[in-house]
Amino acid sequence: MIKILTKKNTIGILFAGLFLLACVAGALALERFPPPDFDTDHTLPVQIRPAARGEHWAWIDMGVLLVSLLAGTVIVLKTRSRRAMVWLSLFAVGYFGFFRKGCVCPIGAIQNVADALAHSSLVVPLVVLFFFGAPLLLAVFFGRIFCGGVCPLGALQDLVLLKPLRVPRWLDTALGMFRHVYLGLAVLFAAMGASYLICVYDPFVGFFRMNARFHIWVLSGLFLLLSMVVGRPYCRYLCPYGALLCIFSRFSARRVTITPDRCINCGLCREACPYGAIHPSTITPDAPPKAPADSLVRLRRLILGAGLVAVLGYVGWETGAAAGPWFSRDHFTIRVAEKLVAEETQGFEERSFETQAYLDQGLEPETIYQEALLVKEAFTRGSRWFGLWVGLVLSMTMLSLLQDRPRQEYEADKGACLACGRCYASCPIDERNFQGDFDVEAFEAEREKAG
Amino acid sequence: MTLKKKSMGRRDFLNNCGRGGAFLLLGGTVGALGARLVRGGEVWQIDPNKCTKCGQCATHCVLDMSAVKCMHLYKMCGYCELCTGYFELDPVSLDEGAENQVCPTAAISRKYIEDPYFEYKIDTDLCIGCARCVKGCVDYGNGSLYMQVNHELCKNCNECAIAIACPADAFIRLPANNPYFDRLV
Repeated sequence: MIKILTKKNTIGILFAGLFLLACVAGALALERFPPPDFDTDHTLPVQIRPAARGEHWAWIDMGVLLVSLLAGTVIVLKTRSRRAMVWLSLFAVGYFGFFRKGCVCPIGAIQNVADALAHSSLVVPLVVLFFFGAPLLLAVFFGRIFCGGVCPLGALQDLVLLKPLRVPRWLDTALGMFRHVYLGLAVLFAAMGASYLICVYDPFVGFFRMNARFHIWVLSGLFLLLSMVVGRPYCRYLCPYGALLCIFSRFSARRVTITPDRCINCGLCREACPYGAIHPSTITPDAPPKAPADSLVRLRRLILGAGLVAVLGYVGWETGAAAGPWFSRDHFTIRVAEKLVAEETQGFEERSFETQAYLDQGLEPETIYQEALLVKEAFTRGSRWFGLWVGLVLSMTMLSLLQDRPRQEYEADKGACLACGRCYASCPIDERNFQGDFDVEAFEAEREKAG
Repeated sequence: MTLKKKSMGRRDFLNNCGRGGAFLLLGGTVGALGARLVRGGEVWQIDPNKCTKCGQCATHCVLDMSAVKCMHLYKMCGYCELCTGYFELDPVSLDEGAENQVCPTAAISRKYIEDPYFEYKIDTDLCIGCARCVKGCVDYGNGSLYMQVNHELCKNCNECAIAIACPADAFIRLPANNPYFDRLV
């Protein structure tokens, strides 16, 4: 056999022969050309089996994240220094962003967790679990420290912010719902085994890796330009992890307190906050505090509110089910099945890449149609829950707009405050950190005169 | 004054409940997934028996250069002079000319050992994981070339982009301490 192979002029015949041989050998699963016994003392090279990369980077990343989070906590609660927060942000962009190429990150870790919760065969690596859990745990106690100076995406937007526009509250709230919707979508798609949306549409990781597809570059450019005039658009309106942190930090025991002492209601902090996260005091000279509504009115409000949640939840539940099959088209099985159907019914000149590879396995088209039906069903089930989630988000946001608690002083919003520390530098009571010119006594004297 | 104090108390109570709930939810999730860590890590690998040599490995990996490489099981190799993993199906001549090679990056080197045997080696740095050579070797030769995930390069994403794209469902999970597919010779 080998002897024939040496004759160069019989290549054509040889290939025909080889093909025949391939058919026979394929059926018998034999080695077509027995490995040679060398006359010379040639020894076979060693099979290369590269070892897995060391785990040390995972440990280093976890350590750096822990130290950064602790440093952020100290800055927010003790030092109250905007300058220190900027340094922390710079470090975060440098290390987690450009050096570690933005991976692993807690935002993406949501998908790994959702995927693993849906598929019991998956094991989430320790570093991913740590990145997912640590910032959330900290948010339950001290607010969104992670957003403030540890998240490379947030820090990048914060560092390019030139002249923040004030987004009207209604628009801010309406756009803010998108991150909850996006969170729901990301969990749905990850749990269904379709795709990791957050990673695919991450607008900043392209900068860290200097590598992205064209449409992602366009998205990145738009977001970066927008970040110059709107404070952190991704964090406030799209970030799914921000949505989680927002919910968790509402229960935080301690968080950003704008003034270390009494608030004189000067309103400087509200001017300084680029994220519209500071609520003004409701006590003004011409409007005395409102009396609380009586219990009957409150009961009626509660029932109406619950009704709204139920109605929107139900609408979402049903709409979600209707949207399920449409979402499922992102799933690989559905894509292949749809292509196969198109090729079978419409005729084709050449099979597509995926369908060819599928048929090459010797599988029947019917098999993947059955699989596709199962995937579609699963998507419809999952999409119902997604719809319910959207309904809940919508109704709860509407209800939160109705609620207006009286405030004695200017307060950072529990959920929306990103702990950037700008208000520390703007509070004239905070003598240590105040950067500006403001005469507190003159201000108070004038207010007294006005009554 | 008493009324105000009472309402503050309720708010605090609800806050504490919420914090407890958030804590339990987070702890439960992380704990449940953390318990799986004792199973030991798993990594992605390709089952060569299922692989259809479609070429998606070269383009779908999240890395700039795919972590999937061609590997060579020398014990199985026939050391053919006309290697169908090395040469195009209808080569102009049986030499190292680029027009004759099936590998788009010339990652396979060919060395004369003794008549009529030639040894083929793969330069992992040049290999882009396109599986063209594997197709040639499996279709007409011994199948000693096969696709494998190189674990020196693989980032072991929880969701492997190639596994999602693989039309043959050839991506399997193997224990991290023995991450290569063992082929019987």
